[in-house]
Amino acid sequence: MFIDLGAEVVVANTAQTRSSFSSVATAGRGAELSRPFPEKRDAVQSLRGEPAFLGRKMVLVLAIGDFHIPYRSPTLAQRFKTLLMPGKIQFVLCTGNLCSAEVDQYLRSISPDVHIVTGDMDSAPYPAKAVVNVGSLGFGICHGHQIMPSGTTSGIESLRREMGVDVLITGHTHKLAVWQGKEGGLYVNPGSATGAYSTTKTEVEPPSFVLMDVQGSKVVTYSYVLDGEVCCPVILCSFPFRFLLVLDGELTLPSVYSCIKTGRSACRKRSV
Amino acid sequence: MDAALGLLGLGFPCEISVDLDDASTRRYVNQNQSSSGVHGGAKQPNDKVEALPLYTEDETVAGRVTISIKDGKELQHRGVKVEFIGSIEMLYDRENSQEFTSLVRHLDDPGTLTKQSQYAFQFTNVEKTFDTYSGINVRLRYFLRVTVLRAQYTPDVVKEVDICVQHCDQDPNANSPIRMEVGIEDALHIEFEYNKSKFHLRDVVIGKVYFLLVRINLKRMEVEIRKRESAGSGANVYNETDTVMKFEVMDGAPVRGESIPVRMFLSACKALTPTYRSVNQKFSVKYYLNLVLVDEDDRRYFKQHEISIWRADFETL
Amino acid sequence: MPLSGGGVTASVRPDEGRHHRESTASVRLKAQRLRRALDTDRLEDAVKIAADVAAELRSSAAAELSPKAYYDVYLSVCAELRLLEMYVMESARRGAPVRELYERVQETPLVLPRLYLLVTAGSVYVKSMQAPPKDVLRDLVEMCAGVQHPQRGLFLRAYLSQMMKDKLPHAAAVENGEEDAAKETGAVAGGTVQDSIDFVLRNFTEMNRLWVRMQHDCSPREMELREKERLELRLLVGSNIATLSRLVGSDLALYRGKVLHAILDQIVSCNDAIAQEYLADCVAQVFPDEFQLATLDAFMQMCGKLKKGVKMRTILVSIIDRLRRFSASSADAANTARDAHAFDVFRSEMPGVMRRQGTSLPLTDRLRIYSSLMSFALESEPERFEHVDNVLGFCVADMDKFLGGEHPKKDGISPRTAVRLSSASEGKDRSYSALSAEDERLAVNVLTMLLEAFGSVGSVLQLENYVVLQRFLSYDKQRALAAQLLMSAKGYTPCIEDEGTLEKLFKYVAPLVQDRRVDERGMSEKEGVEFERFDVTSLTHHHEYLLALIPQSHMSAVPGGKPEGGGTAAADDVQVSERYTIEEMATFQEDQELVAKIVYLCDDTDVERALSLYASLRQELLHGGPRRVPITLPSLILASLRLALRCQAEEKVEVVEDVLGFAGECVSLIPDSHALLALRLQLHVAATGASLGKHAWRFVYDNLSEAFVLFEQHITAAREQHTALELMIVSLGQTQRSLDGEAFAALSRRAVKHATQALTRSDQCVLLCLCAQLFDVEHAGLARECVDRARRAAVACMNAAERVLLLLDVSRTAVAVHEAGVCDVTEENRLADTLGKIRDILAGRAAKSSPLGKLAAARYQRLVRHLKSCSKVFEGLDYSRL
Repeated sequence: MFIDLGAEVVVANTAQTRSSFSSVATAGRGAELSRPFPEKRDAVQSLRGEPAFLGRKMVLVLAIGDFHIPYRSPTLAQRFKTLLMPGKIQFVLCTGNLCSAEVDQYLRSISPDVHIVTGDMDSAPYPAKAVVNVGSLGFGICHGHQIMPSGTTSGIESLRREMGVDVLITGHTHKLAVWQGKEGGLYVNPGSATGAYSTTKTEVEPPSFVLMDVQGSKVVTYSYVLDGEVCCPVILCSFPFRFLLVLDGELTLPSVYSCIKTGRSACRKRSV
Repeated sequence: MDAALGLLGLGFPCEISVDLDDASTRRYVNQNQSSSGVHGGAKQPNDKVEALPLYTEDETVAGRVTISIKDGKELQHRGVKVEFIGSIEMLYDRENSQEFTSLVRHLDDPGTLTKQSQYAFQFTNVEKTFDTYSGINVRLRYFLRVTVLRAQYTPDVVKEVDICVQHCDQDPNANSPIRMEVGIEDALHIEFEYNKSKFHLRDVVIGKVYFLLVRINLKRMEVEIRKRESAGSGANVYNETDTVMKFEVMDGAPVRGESIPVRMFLSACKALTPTYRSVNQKFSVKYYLNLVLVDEDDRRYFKQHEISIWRADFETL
Repeated sequence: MPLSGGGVTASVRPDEGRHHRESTASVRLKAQRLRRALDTDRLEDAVKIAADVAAELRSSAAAELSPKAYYDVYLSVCAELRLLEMYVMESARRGAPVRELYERVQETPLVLPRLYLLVTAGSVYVKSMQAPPKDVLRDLVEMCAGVQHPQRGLFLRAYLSQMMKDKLPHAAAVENGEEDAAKETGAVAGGTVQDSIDFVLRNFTEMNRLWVRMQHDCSPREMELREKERLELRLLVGSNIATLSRLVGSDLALYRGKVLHAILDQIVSCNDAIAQEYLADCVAQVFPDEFQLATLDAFMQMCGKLKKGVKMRTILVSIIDRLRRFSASSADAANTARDAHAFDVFRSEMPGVMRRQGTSLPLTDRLRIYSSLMSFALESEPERFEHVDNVLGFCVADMDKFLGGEHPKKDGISPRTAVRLSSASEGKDRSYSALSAEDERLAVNVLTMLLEAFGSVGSVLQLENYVVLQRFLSYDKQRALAAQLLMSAKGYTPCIEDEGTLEKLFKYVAPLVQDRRVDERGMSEKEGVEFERFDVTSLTHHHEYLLALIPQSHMSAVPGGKPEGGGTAAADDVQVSERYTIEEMATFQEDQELVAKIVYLCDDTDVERALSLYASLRQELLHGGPRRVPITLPSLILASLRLALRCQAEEKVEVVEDVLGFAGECVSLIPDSHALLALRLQLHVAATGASLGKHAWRFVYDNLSEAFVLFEQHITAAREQHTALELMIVSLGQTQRSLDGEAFAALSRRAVKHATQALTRSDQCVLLCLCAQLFDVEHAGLARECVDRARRAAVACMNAAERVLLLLDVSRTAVAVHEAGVCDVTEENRLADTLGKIRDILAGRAAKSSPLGKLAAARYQRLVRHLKSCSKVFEGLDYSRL
């Protein structure tokens, strides 16, 4: 019965990606991404002004989940579909609740490396948890409905500790959140990609996902929130956790939080 | 004739020539011999074509006769005369020929001619009732005949000079169109119309053929002009019918309701003369328009209708 | 070279080659004489020779030629006549009267050469302006009647129009003052455009008559050849229409008043299929778009008078496509098309055209025409649904007529009445034959086109004839189309506001909800299962009752409704999966997910109305039977939960209960074969109840207990049991505060009991760990007991790796319980013992060398580090033992 417990940690070894990092480090080529994703140079310079980032190959990790198609939402917004062009993203980490094979196929069309964990409404046999190594970082995914007591940060922090990852991606709450734990570590909740409502609260959040630019041991996150039908404000958060917190005093947590708050307040909340 | 006699060595001892007054200013017309064949215009090389001086009905015929004697010869004669003759010649029946006009002027009394002599003559206001005509069986001529009378057993020296007489008519008062509806029951039914029944020689026949029913396979349609010459009288009447013009007006088969135009320029037909009715009780010339339809098996369906032709103007050269 | 394809006729005309060579050689020979005559200024001779040249066109050799070879000879004759023309033109320029020549050529005894010469002379006459062009033109066109032989006449008249083409008086010339210039030079006044048009129309009419006559009196054996030859000659006739177009220019009044009617009259009166088809197409192609729009009624009326068997498809598709392209070209053009009421014209005239053609215009052609018309309607006035509906009506009317079998209606029926008739005939016994593959493709195309253009389900629902037409299709096509209809709703804008509309939509998508084809009468081929009599709202929540009340036919996919053998839903599923391939299953799944999304089309702005809409929707969805309901119903359930949440937000408390009740009922309608799904939904109902506040809390207990019933009765697979229990425990934890103590105690006790009874040690351990976290300080004992039991289960585990991982889980749970302040796990060294056990195992050789051992060690280290970092919390812990 090893599988029951072992399955909770699925390690996707990405050593190849890691080695390619160092080899292209001096290649001097900028990111290949064009709009609508931010230019790497702009994003990094405006936030950090550190030229050391330049010339590195950008590794993009998409955190997305809680589609609930067709149970709670008819479809993924067209705006998101155009943003998430195939071939741009290296890793898709999905927090579950796809609810339909259609979404599974869609995610696999975006990127060759897709990791999905099971949500409370998924009948497909996804694992409950998964760990993916990107660069020198470990990414953990878990839907999060299993966390008890639910809705507590302690539960989530305990989970990260248990999984032994640097970045923990959870869903379930349908509420976009990016924060750093007291003991370090990055916590990402991409919210619901379709803006599905949650049975546990009366408020409905707009559709969202989080995109992470992983550079070695550093992560810059971009949160995409669909405001109405048209605009998609981008919130930039850089997480200089681990080394950066120590080495670089420029960027402090409060400023990051305020960044999130400002971005958030710009988003119109949808009522149920 | 002169030349032939000359060849025999029996040549006339004198030459006669006639010079008509105003010869240089006078109008001339072509007077061809009886023309047969469809197209008057197409001249055969051996057709005898003469240019004849043109006289009107009561014009004076005057001129001079010149008699030339060969050098060193002399000619005894019993008188010189000039005649103006109008004749109708039956080509098949000489006996029935007739001189309807004959006037004589004596130019010289009997004597001897030794040198060239000239005589003036004049037939004042001589009546020339008929047109000159040259047909198949009959010919109507006007001519001057100069005769040098000789001794009893010596042939007279004769010279004949033809003149042409033409009459012009006025537009006919009544000139009704020709309209006709003809057909073969259940096979062909047409209606045709010519704009008039009396045409002058350079007139244009304008008409129309309207097909009411066509159940036979037609190939073409023509309009012919047929000429009918009747000569003689009583039991000895010689009729000759000749198609003097053939004019195709339609190629192919029409369908019912089709209307085919006819426009035929009579001037194209050189053999055309005015219609003559009982010229001096001797002959008549009549013309017919004949509409001919030809079917695919070359059967001909036709309808002819008499027209009368008149002269509106002199046909001078 | 406008003619082509003559080669094929060679076998029919064996000597054609020889005749052709003879004719050409003869023309060449005579042409030399013509040149000589012209060079020496012998005009009279030249005319005669020219007549001789032209006479080649009616020689016995020429009579044997096919149109193509004849055309060749014709060209060489024309070239020679051109010399004469140039000569005469030159002398006319020097002042020589053309009239003389014009008359002289008429003395030519043969009609065909005469007319060729007349046309040649006439062209100079017109050009020289020595006579009114009008008179000359009229004369020529009349005189040409002399050639009645179809082929020869056609070419003669072609020569006439060719020669006159650049000499006709036209509007531009008059405007440019050429008329004035002519007056100054003493020539006659130039003609008017009117004269030119009269001339061309007349000549065109005659040419067309000759063209039509080519086929008169030919044997059926020759018919095909003649048709072919005629087609080779069509350009000769058609070029007149091009000439007319040039003459008319942009003068619409002239076109409408004179030209068009003359052409159309001729097209109708010639009564020949080939000519009608070709000329109608010419008209549609040649004249400008604006003209076509302005005179569409006349054109369509003409179409209604054409002979039976004319290829109406060519003509109509041509004109419709043309107008469609025009409308699409610019906004102005689209406005013009709209102002011209082009579609209205099509609508009013089309039935007449179709009626006239009757069975000689096959259904396929008709559908092609309608297909074009549909594009036009969508392109020109996409907002006019009734236009689209009209086109569909046409399709329906024709299908009714063509497929209707035994009693086709004699009189034409308007599309509207057709629909009514066919819907009225639902009760009657009228059978329809199936569409051919091609016809079906076209019908699908017509429908698909509008789906793509509308992109909105609401718009499609306004169409009366859509669903009627759909019923003529095969089941597969009906199903695919229904799916496409649902997919066309890209933005899922709510468009269903009442039950009527919803009912209508389900008529449209019936093929997705029913297993069989829906026929033209709107009846499913399968016996209808009578859900209508079954009022679900009267049911209690109790499972047993529900099962007893639902008719057996619901639960079975087998028609007839009697459960056969082990006719349970599960058995049915097996049958189903045996019957269908994987692909079909996938398609089925996709289709049903589309049906599931219908709920998003329902307008829910008004909560009460939305609820009644949802009730209707549920009725409709239930028609799908046990195969479909598990896919289609959850969306409705979750949508109603959302509605409940909104009621709360809008403080419509009284409705909340209804909504939650409704949702609960819906869950109970999920077949037992999908008990886990039902359980998940049940838990969501409970969770919603918990979120809503005290008044809804009774739903929490009811639904949780319902979930337990489901678990106990229907969830048998170990994996599912684990998942279900996990979800139940978590839900219980979430909803704890909305349950009264007794209820919670009962449920939690039951949860612990089930966890303890789980099949494997690991299941027991993991689930008990979850249970441990359910309890607060007041129930510290229970929490402790859970942890203890979990540890016992872990320890009892045989596999060392599994044991260590489970022990790690137990420790984590213990730490969490301790940190939450529920109970002190340091008592009696519980935590320390557990950690010690872990350490012991990890110290083993096997663990050290295995990757899993390392993983466990790392996890252990992290736990220890955490314990050390909050040593204040774990005062009782003997850190020295770590």
